[in-house]
Amino acid sequence: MLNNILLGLTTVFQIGNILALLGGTAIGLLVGAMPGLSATMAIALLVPVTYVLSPETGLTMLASIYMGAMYGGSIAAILIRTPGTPAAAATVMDGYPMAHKGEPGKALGISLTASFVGGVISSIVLLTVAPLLGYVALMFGPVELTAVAVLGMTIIGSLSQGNPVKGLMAGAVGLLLSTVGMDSITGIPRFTLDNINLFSGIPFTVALIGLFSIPQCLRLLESDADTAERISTISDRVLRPWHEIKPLLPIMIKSGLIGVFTGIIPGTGGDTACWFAYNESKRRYDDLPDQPRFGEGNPYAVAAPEAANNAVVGGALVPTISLGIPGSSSTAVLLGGLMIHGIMPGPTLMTEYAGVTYTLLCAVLLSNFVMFFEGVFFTKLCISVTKISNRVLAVAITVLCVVGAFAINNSFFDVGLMFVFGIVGYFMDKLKVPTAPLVVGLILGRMLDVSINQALLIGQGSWSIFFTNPISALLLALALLSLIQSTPWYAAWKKKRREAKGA
Amino acid sequence: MSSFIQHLLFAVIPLVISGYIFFAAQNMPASARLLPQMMAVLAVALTGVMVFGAWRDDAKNASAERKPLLPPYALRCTLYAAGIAAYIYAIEPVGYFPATALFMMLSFLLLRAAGFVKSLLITALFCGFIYALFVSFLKLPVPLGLLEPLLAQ
Repeated sequence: MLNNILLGLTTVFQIGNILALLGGTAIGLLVGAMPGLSATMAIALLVPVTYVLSPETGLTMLASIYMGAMYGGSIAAILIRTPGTPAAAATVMDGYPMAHKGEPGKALGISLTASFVGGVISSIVLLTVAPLLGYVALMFGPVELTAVAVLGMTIIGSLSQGNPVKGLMAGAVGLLLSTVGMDSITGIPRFTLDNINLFSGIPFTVALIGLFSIPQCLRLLESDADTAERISTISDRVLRPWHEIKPLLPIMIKSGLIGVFTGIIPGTGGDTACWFAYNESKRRYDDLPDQPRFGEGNPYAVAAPEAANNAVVGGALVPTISLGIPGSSSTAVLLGGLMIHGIMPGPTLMTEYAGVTYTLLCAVLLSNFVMFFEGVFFTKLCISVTKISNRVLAVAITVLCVVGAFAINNSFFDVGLMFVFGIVGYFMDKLKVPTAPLVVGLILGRMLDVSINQALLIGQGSWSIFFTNPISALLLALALLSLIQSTPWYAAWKKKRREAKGA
Repeated sequence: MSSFIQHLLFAVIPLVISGYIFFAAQNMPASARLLPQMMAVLAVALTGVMVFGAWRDDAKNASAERKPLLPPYALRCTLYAAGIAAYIYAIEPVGYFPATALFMMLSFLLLRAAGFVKSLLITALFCGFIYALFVSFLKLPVPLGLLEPLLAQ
C-alpha cells in the first residue's frame, strides 16, 4: 500500500499533473462561484476534454475541479447570498451577514481555511480507508458483488433527497437503460431498436452531460432578474491570522469528520453534510458571549458547513474507489471519467489500475493545498464571475454541452441523446425525482447484470445462494434495512417511540 | 396543473421504457432477459406507487390554492429547448460554427441577456475559445459546413 501511495505521489508531482491540478482547481473555484452551477455539471462538461489526456492527468483535473468547486460555492454564498453550489446552502446563513457587516474577507478566509482542514481530513481518511476496504472487496466474488450493487442502489435510492420511492424508481430506470446494447454474456444486441449507435450501449458520459447540464441551463432561465443583493468589494484580507483560526479548529475537525462519514454513505452528499455540521455547531456555539448569534454572522457557522462539504469529497470517494459504488453524483461523474479511459469500476481499481487510482487519491490530497493557495490569491477575482448574467451562462453552457456530447464519439446521435436526457432530467428535477440514482443505475447496471448471472450459475440457478453466503446475506439485510427506514411506517413508528419516551 | 397530472404525464416515460424492454426481452435467452425484466417490473411498480402518492397528496391538499396551468417561465423554457433542438439539427447541414454563432446571437438577443454589440463580442470570443480548445487542441472533427473553405486545415 505504501509503495502504491509513493507511486501515486510521484505521478501527481509530474509537471502535466501539477498543471492539471492548478487548472482544475481554478476552474472549480470559478464554476463554484457562479450561482446555479454545480461541481457535477463542471466535471460532466469537462470529461470529454480529458479524452486526450492520460487517465492520471484527466482524473487529477476532474478531482481538483470537484474540490475547488466545493470552496467556490461559498464565494457566491458569502458575497451574493446565493449558494454557488447546493453544498454551500448553509454557509449563506452566517456568511452573508458577516460580509454585510464589512467582513467579507474574514468570512471567505474562514470558509477557505475550513474547506482546507475538512478536505485534508477527508483525504487522509480516503488514503487509509479506501485501500483497506478495497483489499477486502478483492475477496468478493459474483455473489457478493451482486449484493454490493443491490445495497448501493437501495441506499442511494432510499436516501436520495425527497421521496425514496422516486429515488428507487429512478435507480430502476437507470438499471433498465444500462441493459441497452450488446449483452456481455450471450453477445446478442438488446433493446437497440436496430440502431447501430446503441449497440455499445447508452454512452454514459452523454447521459451525464444531458442530465446535469441541460436542466441547469433551463433553471437559469426561469427567473427574470439576476441577483440584486451583492457585496461588490472585499476590503479585508482573506488570509486570516492564527488567533482567529485557532478557536475554530475543533469545530472544523469535528465537521470534517461529519462530512467524511456523510460522504461515505451513498446518496448523501455535501448538501446534507453542510446542514448536519451547521446544526451540530449551533448546538454548541450559538450562545458564546463574545460572538454573534447564529444567523447574525457567527464564524463557527461558516467554518462548520464549509469543513463538512469539502470533507464529503474524500468520504464519497471511499465507496467509489473501493467498491465501484459512487457515493454522490459528482463521484458518479468521476467514475464516468475513469470509464471513458477503459477503466471499469469495481474492486480491481485498487490492483489492476493501482497507478491511476493512487494518483487520484494523492491528487485529492494535493488539491486541498492548491485550493488554499489559489483561494488566498484569487478569491477577490471571483467577484467578477458572480456578476455574469444567468442568461449568458445558460447559453454558454448549452453550447459546451453540445460540443462536449459530440466529442465523446464524434456522433450527432449522441448529441441528440444528450438533449433527450437533458429534457427528461429537467422534468425529473421539477417533480423532485432525483437524477443521481439514475446515473448510478447506469453505472452499476453492467456489473449487476454480469454478476447476478454468474452468481446464479454458481448456485445452479438457485437464488438461495445470496442468503447462504454470509457476506451477501449481511449486505442484503443492510439493503432491506435501508429500505425499511425510508418507509413512512418506520417514520411513524420512530415518532411513536419518541413520544412514548417523552411521556 | 395538479401534481397528480404532472406525475401521471411523467410516468409515461418509465412505463414506455419498461413496457418496451419487458416485451422485447421475451424472446431472449434466460440470462439476457433476467435483469431487464426484473427491473421493468420493479420500475412499473414504483412508478405506480409514485403516481398514487401524488394523487394522495393532491387529495390531502384539495383545499389549497390551485396552481396555474403552467408556470410563468414555461413558455421561455419551452422556446429555448426548441431552440436547442433546432441548433442541434442545424449543425450538420450548416456547420458547427455558423450554427453556434447564430444560436448564441439569437438566444442572447431574444432572452435580452445583452445588447447587440456585447452579444456579438461574447459570441465571437466564445466561438474562438471553442475553436482553440476543441478543434485546434483536441482535434475534434466538427462539421465546418459553410466555413469549410475558410477553416479546413
